[in-house]
Amino acid sequence: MNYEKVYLCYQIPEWVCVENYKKLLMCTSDQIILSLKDCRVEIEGKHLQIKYYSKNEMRIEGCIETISYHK
Amino acid sequence: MAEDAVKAFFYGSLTIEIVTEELERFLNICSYNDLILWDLQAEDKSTKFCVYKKDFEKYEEIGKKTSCRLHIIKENGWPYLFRKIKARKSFFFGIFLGIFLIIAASQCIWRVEIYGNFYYGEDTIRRFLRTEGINSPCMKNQINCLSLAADIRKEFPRVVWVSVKRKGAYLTVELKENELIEEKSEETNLAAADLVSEYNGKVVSIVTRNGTAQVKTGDLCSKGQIMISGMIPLVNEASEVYDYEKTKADGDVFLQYKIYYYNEIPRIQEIKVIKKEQKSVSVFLGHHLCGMFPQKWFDRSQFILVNENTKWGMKIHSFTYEKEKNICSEKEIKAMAVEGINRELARIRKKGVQILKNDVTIDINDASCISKGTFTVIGKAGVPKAITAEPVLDGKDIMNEQ
Repeated sequence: MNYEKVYLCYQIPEWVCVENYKKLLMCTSDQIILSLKDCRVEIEGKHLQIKYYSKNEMRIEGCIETISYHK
Repeated sequence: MAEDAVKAFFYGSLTIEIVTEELERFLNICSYNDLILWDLQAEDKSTKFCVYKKDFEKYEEIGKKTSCRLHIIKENGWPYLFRKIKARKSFFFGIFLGIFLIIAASQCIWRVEIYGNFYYGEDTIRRFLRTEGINSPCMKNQINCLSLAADIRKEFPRVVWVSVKRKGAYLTVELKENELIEEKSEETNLAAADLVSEYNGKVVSIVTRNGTAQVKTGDLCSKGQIMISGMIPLVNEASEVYDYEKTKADGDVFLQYKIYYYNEIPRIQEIKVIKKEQKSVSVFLGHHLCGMFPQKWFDRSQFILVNENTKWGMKIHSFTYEKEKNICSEKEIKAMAVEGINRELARIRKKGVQILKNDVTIDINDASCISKGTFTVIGKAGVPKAITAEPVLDGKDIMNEQ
């Protein structure tokens, strides 16, 4: 699969929008972990909800506290 | 987002609850198969999310692969709503019919209100509007307010300003009439007149507003006698009458007079004996509608007004009868005579006359019952009578001589 550039836009603490993600690694109401092309994104907060989920795009809403990147 | 909500409504959507420990795997397979879901809410043991109705079979397949159990919690959107509507056809038909009737009714003018008319009666204006095709109800698009206003001004010359406007289901016609013309015409219509008595009686009180009083309290007054004269004498410094000013006599004169009463009731009365009674039929017709039918249709029927306020509910009690002659007893005939006297008294009272004394006696003989006598009453008297005779101007002659 050819992954293009990853876009991550957010408005803390309301929402985060991720485009061209690779895989969903973990999904709970407190933490969502996404696998990107060459890194991993951890979104932590409370009452997290996937407002929209499709092949290329995902929008997460809730009380977002941190967004961290891991190689 | 709004587009998605509209799409979800028209295609139909399902709220699904999934119980699995491999939620991420399930979601990744969905994503790989290009399936869309939204409002995903992960809880401790279960996860809820919304999907399109058309994709549900694919989700079920993925659920089988990942050993998940899918439960439909809620069905949303038009396809499910349509199913509900089909089950409650009459209810929704009623709603749509109601909406249709409201829309249809809002296209009509249901009431015409007229303001500011003093000289022209409301009936006159309404009659004119009817000739113009404006009746209540009538269609709104039939009314051209500008041309209607112009027509009103043309038809009614006293109207100096007119405004016709539609406000909801009302048509409001506001007028302004020329008051100056009215005053002038009143003045010209004012003819000199005396106030003359129409009864023979005694003057109880007299209050003169215009003219010269010719009688005073306690005077006897005969029919046709002038009570208040329309000639006002003009006097000079020597207290001599030199001219008369003609005016319309006006005032309140109360006379005590007698009203004669005579009523003869034959003892042999024709009474209607009901031979065959038929069933009552309730007909909901306004009495003005009944008035459209010939009277003979209802000769052998009795109308009972069910609701006097609305005057719409009406019951027809139909029967056949024969006329029979019946000799009334003294008690019956006396009751009829008393009823006649009371009816006459009520009729007199309606005129605003005070009844002082009732001297009517009832005389019953073998053939009839005669009630005769007088009612002594106090009532307002006086009718205007135009002044025709010219006054003798003694005073004026004197002035000329001087």
